[in-house]
Amino acid sequence: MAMLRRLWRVPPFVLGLVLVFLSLALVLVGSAVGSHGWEPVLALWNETAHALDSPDAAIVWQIRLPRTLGAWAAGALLGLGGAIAQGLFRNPLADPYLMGSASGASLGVALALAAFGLSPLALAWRAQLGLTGAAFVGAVLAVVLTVLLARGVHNSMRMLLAGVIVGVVLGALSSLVLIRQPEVAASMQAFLLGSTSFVGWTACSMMALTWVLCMTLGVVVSPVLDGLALGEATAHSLGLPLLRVRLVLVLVLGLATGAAVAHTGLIAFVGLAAPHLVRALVRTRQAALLLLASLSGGLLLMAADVLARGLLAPQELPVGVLTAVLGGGYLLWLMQRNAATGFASGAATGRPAV
Amino acid sequence: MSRPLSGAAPRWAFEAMQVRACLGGQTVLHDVVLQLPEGRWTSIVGPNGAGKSSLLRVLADLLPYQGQVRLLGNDLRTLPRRTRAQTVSWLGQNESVADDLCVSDVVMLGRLPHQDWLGAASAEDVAAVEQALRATQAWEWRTRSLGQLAGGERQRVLLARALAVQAQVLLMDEPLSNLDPPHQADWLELVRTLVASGKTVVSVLHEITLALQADALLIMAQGRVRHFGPTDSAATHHALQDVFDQRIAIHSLHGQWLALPVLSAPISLLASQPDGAHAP
Repeated sequence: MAMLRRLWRVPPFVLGLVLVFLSLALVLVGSAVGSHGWEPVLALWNETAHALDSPDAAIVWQIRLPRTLGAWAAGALLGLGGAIAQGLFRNPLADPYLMGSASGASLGVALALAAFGLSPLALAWRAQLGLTGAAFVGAVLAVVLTVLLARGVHNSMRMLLAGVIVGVVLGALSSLVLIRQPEVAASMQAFLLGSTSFVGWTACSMMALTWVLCMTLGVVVSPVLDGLALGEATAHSLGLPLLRVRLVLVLVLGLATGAAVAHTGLIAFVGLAAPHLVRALVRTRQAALLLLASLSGGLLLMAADVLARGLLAPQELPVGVLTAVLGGGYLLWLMQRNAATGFASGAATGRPAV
Repeated sequence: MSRPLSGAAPRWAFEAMQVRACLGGQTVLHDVVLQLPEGRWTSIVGPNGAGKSSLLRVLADLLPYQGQVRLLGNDLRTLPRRTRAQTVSWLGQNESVADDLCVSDVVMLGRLPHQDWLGAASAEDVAAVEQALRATQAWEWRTRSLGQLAGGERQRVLLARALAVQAQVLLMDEPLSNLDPPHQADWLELVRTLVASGKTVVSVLHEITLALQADALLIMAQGRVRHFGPTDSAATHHALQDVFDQRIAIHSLHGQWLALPVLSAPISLLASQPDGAHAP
């Protein structure tokens, strides 16, 4: 059995290459899937020179491509957030929304909708940006609130509890807003289910920038995540600057999830499943794990987005529903496999709860 | 207090002055004063709740304390983190370690205090990892993950991790838990080798007979140091029997010390098996 397991392991860079290759392939598929089918891409292929201002070009360049790349960026941010949360809290069930960012973003959106949701402005692009801003601010404020409630970042158990409390309280506040203004519930629904359909080039580049920043910070502090896997006492004894790095990690977590949630809503399970996917295939240090988990997250969400557009085309499924089904199914399969092989692989049963 | 050390002036691995520490609002160490000799193996022993682990955690700078602790003559508080990490290696008890880590990666983490931030492992690091894994007979598992190892095997990997630091001082909290007798004997020999090469070992051991293999015993009760002395002195044995309410007796057997329980009556009278199968 042990031999069989070892065959499963692939070198980290091979997995990285496969993920990049699959992602590139999916970008092509993603720019070809939608209510207009393959034709816009074929048209672009045939008439090259004057095609850039044609409607076909607009469909591909202004709608499908930013949306597909945006799905990748949001998934990559969530995958990175998930890997950081699981390393920081030393808990395989940690997900990037753990610090209250999801409920903070929801409250932000609910408040913004309640404030100007009924005016015709709400449909405008500018209002969309307003919602994005509200979600981002809400997410980041919730993380800050969690850290304040936990009286700092030196006790991960207290941070976890504070995150749960902030999540519940802010969730209740969102419900209160919805009860007071029931007419925003429908718009709220779209946000709660998660959707990539509003992502344009601006959102895309903002997420990409955030990703570069967060990934760089994550890799720089990754030795501390490595050390934390041995327990907090041992990590401290190895001379790692736990306190400072925890602060950086919480900041990165807030930024990454905030940026993803602000642009695509609450996308379920990508952040939880992506690191597990990587850990099931490779054994590696945290620096590589962060990068691979992020690449897997991007691939997962992009695949889900393509499916969401293609399955019932020209109708569209909310992508968050698909990720919940896919990610949840994957975790269930992983759990079954671990139970069947009889020992913990660390993916679903490995680390004891915090 | 202790027997004269080899060489001229005694050097202390640790000196503690009026150390007081609290855990969850309760004072677990009361004004502890001690001097632990360098190049020796000291075992901390005492009843449950005596503050043994707390003291070890203070020495490792893991538990906040009042008072002063000096590590090889330097104030522990002002010592740079990296220097402290290179000087003191820590092996904790029941620390939850991620199961998906590869054995050689775990041991390589012991080299972090010597590596540049995000730097690659040097040939020296690789050699230290191999040496540590071989010393604990864990070399053959180097490509496995921790989750694939049994409790005692895992403990040997974690011990190798602590050895890989190649620190001057090793602090170990119950290092023999989960080890079977052959590997307990291996551990004893390993510690002897380390001490012979000038390293200092401080361990918390609840198994008194194993603790009696050390050079010196630090006997604690109720958060206070009751006695510090060489393992083979009668005064140390008396202090040991005192803190355990005279319920253990120290015997000598083939040049080793042995702690046996003191029973209120011979064991044959205490047993009450109706069939009398126990009678000699």
